[in-house]
Amino acid sequence: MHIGYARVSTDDQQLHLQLDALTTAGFSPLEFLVLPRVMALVLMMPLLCLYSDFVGVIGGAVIGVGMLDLSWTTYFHETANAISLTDMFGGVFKSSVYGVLIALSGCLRGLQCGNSSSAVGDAATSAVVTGIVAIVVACGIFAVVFYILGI
Amino acid sequence: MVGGINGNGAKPHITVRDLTMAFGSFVLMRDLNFTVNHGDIFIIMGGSGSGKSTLLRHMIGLIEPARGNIFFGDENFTKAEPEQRQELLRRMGVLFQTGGLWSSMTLAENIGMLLEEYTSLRPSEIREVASLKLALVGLKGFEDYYPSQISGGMQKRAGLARAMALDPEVLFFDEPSAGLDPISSRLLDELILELRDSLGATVVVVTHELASIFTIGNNSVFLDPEAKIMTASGDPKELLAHCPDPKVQAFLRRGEIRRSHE
Repeated sequence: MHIGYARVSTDDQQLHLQLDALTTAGFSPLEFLVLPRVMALVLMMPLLCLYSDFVGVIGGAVIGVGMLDLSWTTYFHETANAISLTDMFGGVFKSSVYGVLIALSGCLRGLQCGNSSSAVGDAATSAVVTGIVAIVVACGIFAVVFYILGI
Repeated sequence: MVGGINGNGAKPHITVRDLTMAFGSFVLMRDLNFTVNHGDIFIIMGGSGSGKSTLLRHMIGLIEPARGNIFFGDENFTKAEPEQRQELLRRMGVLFQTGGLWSSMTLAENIGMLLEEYTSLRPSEIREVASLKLALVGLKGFEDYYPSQISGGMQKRAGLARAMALDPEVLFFDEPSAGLDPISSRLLDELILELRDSLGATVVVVTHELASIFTIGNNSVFLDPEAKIMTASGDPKELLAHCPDPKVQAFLRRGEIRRSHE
């Protein structure tokens, strides 16, 4: 499998021609451009999620110990009691699904991008909006499903 | 019938039959019928917006015809199964308007990617073939440059080197002289003639450069955007001498009035 990217960096490098060139050379833009991005985000988003979890717990500790007169041991003891591995895996799972959604929104808007320099900016904005909407919707669906499953 | 021998003994390479090009309900051109013979340098002529590039995009399968068929040799390209179509596409090379090089890859990688996918060459051989193709278009030593690091004319030549990577039977050129100075454009014309003669390839060129049309073309089709049909076909030099259509005459004479009849 080939992994690559097409980009518009100056006025005369047109994305459309690069996509046409891929198609006529027999490479599917989906496989060549979209798949690598989806895979990358599916792998990276859970890592980002774990990192955020970690920073969140540390942040709680700093406030708890520094301002609320808790001891380190109490804080970590209570925290460990309050959250379960299920919570963590739920988050990690959700984050990889969000990764797929972000990658697909970005690629969708990128491939629809028009042929001018302002179109690139528009496509970037619209990719962010599409991504956020997709995540909000998915988050709602997760909430319902997790509620039904009793997680 | 398709694939037979023409009156003058030339063998048809690409045959366009009753082709109608349309976007939704907007018809751009209807009832196109023409034949590109082996070894032809075939010019698709017409003013801006007449659908020249669109016709080329139909011929390389990027747009599906609204009606009609395109034959490649004896095979129906339009109705071909995906696999057969890929196989036919492998025998074509396309030079896109501004080169269409993949900007994430160096020139050698642009060419190498095709060789890697469709041949069993080893990486060192791929590199060698890529250098050879680049040398053929005068870009020896530019293997490791990215498309953004070279000039527009060089990008176009590199695009040509990529189009030739798999030694295609047919080369398509979309506005090869657009954005080139007169001398580079002339050199590209010479390169096209040279390629036709040395590789025995058939060449299809979209252009409205009169100088190019008369220098390299030996067959052509003229698209009239108002009538939405092709109004002339044949050798551009003969069209200039004999074609009765006033629009074709105006085009071939840069709008100057034909004086021989006055």
